[in-house]
Amino acid sequence: MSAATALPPPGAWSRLRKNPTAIVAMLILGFVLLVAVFGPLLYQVDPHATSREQYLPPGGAHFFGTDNNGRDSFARVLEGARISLLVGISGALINLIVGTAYGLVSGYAGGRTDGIMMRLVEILYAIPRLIILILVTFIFDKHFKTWLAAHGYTSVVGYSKIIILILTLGLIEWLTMARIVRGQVLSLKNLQFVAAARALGQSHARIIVRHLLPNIAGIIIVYLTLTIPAVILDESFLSFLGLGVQAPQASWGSLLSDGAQVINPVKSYWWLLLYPALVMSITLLALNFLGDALRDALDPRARR
Amino acid sequence: MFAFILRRFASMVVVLFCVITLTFLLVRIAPGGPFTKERRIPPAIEKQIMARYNLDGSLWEQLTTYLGVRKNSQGQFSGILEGDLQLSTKYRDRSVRELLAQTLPISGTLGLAAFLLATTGGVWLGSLAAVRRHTPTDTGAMLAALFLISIPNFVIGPVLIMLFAIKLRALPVGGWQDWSSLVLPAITLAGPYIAYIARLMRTSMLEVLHQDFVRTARAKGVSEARVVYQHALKVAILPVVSFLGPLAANLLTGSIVVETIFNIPGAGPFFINSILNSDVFLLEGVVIVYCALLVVLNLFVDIAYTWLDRRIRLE
Repeated sequence: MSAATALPPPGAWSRLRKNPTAIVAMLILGFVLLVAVFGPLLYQVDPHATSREQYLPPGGAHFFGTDNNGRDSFARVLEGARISLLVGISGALINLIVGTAYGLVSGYAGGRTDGIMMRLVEILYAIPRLIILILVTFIFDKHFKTWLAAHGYTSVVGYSKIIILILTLGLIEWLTMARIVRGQVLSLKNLQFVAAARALGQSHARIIVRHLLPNIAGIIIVYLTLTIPAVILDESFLSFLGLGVQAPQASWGSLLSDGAQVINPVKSYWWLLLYPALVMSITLLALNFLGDALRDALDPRARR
Repeated sequence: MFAFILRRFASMVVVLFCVITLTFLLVRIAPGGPFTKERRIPPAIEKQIMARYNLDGSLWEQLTTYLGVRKNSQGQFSGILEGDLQLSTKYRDRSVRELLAQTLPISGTLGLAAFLLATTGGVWLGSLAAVRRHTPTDTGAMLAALFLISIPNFVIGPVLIMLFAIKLRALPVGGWQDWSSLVLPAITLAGPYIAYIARLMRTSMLEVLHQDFVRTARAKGVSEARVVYQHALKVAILPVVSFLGPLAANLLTGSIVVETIFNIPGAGPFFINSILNSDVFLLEGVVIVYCALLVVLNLFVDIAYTWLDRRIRLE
């Protein structure tokens, strides 16, 4: 990649605004975010309250129908949105910090250090990270629960799995980010403004933070947008297998797992699968569309 | 070349050793051993059982016995180095080797089918979109790709079951009988990666089609089809080749979900159960096979890459 593309081209925002897909994606994401934050406050139905009204189809009092325990599906999808988005966004932020720091150091240091650090990334790419992650999540959750209970944080015990999930998922999707950042830094660090900063006697830390970081901010935002859906997918993968968010709490993955279990030839409770699937897919689609549009806006040459 | 393979082999052994050790320690430091969930057994007997499985003593002793560098309670070396994967602690008296021999061929068939589907489908779709850039074919293909990437395969799977198995009754709902029970799982597993590879392929093909050697080939009067599928493809496929390693890793984890959805008796469900049961040896067995497979595959990918791209020489 040439040096010119590393600098955020002027007018990226105006190009983004002219892209109708990006606008629609942003509107959808804004809406989903608003509903996830304020929905449970407005729609005051307890997502964990069971009733005798099992498998009610959508309509009437229950917007999205009810599930096998007579719980209101709409309330559950709302709770799922909160948890999935919380895990997705905070996990992606951790990935962002780790990946950027790693890439910055690797690219800036160069030479042997760079070689070793990139070799490590290659190795990590090749091992089934999610499989190790499943193990780590499962085992540390038990320890964390006992620790929380022993130290008197009883109110947090129910959230221990979510906290562990955020931390562990935050540590597995940073590889691509590290590679991209490193590539950008490699091309940036030979430019004259970096040489000038060095000649003026600025410290390495200052050069990295003040000169390199602002120049790769654009590409970082693009990959943040693309990492959020990846982390949401990872979390839902774990929850689908019953190793993620624990009942009675719901995430989109665990709702889909419940929905997939009641698909059978005799009687189909399609609403339990359809609504969570729709909400989750639309959110992920919007995020991916926005990420693509951002990339186009920042690097018009990539578009062709 | 030989030195390169040798060095990579050494790093493979190190990676495998790290993964084995990490897995072993993680499972053994977890609260609750493999036998604590069942009826309460007297401590003396539990101690005996643990000794039988060589799970007594310090963590270090357990690990070294498992690796096969320390004599076990029978006074023999019998661990990974000797090719012994031990017995499962949950499925009593069945060896891990036996369980793996039963399940891995199934998972392998599914994985291979998805691998072939993802690569051929993705390469074809991506090249097609690149050749017909900015036509409805291109837009449609890329839109479809984005959809496939965004919709998780545990949504696609049940939807396919509803459509083709329940409504049309064309294919089995699940299980593992003949080739027809392979169709839906393979499509479900490969779906997102067809899309991912198609996107990679399109970008890279577009870049290559602008290069000088393609213009030369066209100027010499080579037919358009041969220009694209013979001259350009050979270069444009390189990013896809370097994605094959991560692809294999993703298919492995993906197969766990797909096997769960379609009730396929592969290694995936055993993996999940072995975690839930703290079945340390079975878990190790699955993890070792998965990792070894991936590491070896990655070596092949690297060799294929250099073979395709003569400009790169292995350091």
